[in-house]
Amino acid sequence: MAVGHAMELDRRVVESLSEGRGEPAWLREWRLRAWEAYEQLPPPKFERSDWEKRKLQDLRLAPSMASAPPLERFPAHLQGLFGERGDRSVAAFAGGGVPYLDLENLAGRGVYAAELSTAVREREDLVRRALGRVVDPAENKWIALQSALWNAGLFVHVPRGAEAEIPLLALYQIGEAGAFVFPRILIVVEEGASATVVEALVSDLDLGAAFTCGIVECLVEDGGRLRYAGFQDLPKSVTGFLVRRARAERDARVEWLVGEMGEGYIVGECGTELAGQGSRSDARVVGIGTGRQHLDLTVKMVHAGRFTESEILGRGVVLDRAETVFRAVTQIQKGAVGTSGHQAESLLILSPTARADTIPMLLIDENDVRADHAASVGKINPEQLYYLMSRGIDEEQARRLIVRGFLDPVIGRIPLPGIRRVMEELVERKMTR
Amino acid sequence: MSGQPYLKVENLHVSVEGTEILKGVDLEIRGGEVHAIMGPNGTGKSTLAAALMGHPKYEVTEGRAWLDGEDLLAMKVDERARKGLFLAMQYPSEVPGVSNANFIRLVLNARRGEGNEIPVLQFHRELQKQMRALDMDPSFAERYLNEGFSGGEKKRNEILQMRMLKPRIAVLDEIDSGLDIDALKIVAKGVNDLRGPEMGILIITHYQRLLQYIVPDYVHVMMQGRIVRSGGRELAEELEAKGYDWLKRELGIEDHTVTSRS
Repeated sequence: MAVGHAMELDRRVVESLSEGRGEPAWLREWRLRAWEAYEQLPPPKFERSDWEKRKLQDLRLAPSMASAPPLERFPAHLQGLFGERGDRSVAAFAGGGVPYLDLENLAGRGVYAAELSTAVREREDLVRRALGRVVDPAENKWIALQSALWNAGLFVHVPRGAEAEIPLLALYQIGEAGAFVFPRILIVVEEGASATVVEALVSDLDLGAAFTCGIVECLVEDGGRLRYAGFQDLPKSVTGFLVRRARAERDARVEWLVGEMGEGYIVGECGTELAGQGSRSDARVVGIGTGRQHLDLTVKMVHAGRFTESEILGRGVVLDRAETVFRAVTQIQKGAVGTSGHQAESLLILSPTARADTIPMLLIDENDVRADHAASVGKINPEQLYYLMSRGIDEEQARRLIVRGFLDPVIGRIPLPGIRRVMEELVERKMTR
Repeated sequence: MSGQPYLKVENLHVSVEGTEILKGVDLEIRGGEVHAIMGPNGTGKSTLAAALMGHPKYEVTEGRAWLDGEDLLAMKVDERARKGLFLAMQYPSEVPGVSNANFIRLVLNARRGEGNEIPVLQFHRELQKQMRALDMDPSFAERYLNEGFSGGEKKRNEILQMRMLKPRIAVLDEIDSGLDIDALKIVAKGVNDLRGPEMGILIITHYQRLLQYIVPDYVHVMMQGRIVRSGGRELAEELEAKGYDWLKRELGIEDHTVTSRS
């Protein structure tokens, strides 16, 4: 059953949402076109996932109107990310209501960051030019739905030459019964500018059943740099569809760090369109599947420009009865000469009832390129376990040590210490739950 | 733990995948003693080491073993280690992503128990001291456990762990294989430093060469899954001079599958 019908959403919900946010006519039309696409498109199919059969008919959702709670009400293990007042940049959302914004630090550095509806009023031309440019609202059914109904948006504009050294934390608390939060983050990094953004989707509630759709779109112009770290820790009641995508212009750099640490049914995609000559993108993605969770992760690098480079490193651990699909796509278009694309994905299966698949894909339409992939699915090596235990640590601890070592190429090299600590803690928590 | 370390093995039979390898081994090792087990390849020397440590592939079908009077064979691998048994392995595993120093600290703390962890600074001073004694580059502390180590570096790393953990009974399984003479001298010194009443040592080797540097108090020769002769250090020299075939003839052992190379 399709989500839209089940959720009893219709065109009027889109109209009233847009009106309630005081949006200009062009944006209302933009949302409505997306809604029409949503109604017409079939649900997307994901190889080795049963997403299209996912039954969401029990959901009766309306756009959330929740306002952000004070920061101290967010889960304790996240507090380390916030920093001190006066020395931090935070935008926190709990729904479509009033966000908590502490963005003065960025303003002092010439960076404009605001709730997206505010930005539509204050930076209308810029938002209009960027919105939907990297993620086409009609690309698939869920992207269309999200585009029609996003209700917790953030806009970041890093003008030419500016540097946002302090990471901007975009925090989403998903957790109001019967209501949805659809995060939308739009980032424009201009020529020679640089920014670091950290996005966290969390929930400390047992939600019954909930659905969320999130889109992150980033435009990184000539010579710009963007480092984006996103992680989610959503409970098993949540079904989520998350897209994070950037377009890199000439000599731009985009770095992704993604941690899928929740327990929900998650379909997630991240990647970069390497449009400009000499651009580069790296993605390090880690996922931990537990319980009966389904995780479907895709990292996609599309090389259009000449002399572009990409590297994908994926690590997944699958426990209990969880299923994980890790798809890595390196696509090199005709004309993208001198390009190199590398990918390596490994999944570690810790339970006989867990399932894991890696699907590496190299789609190459140009001759003068270098591309390679390595993919593996394996179990814990009993000799390693024996060796560690022979020094006096128990089996459970030995397993955790092997898993930690396995994830180290991704987590141990996260350049933001706060994020690294949170990720380490989330891994430990998931392993011991 | 106090008192003199004491390992006793009685009539030990061990099978691997249904094939009996050890056919009744008796052995007693006390603190302060260095024993060497020699013998041709394929006679069960390494099987004895693995069975004592509790490798899951090695099944004890008969016999008993005690460490300080406690039933060794009833313990899990990690428990044996915490009670003071140490095996320096012939082929130590590589564990990527886990640094040598972090691992050794974790292991030390597992023995000391919660609330009694070794202070970090004290640990690093001790680690550096022990690494210097083994002529190991300080960078080995931060390298991943055995990953990309040469054969000789792995052996040295085993002895480093032994020096840090100070076991009651240490079994060294072919610790000399693949070492050049300089490395062998360093490893031997690393072991000799630890000789004393606090530790009993069992050296398993194919070659007499190692025993010139770690001089044993007792030498046992193993053939066809049994200890066929025991003696003092002069037995090793006799074997060196006359070869294993001499002993086979003397004992009336006829076995063409067992050949000696040294």
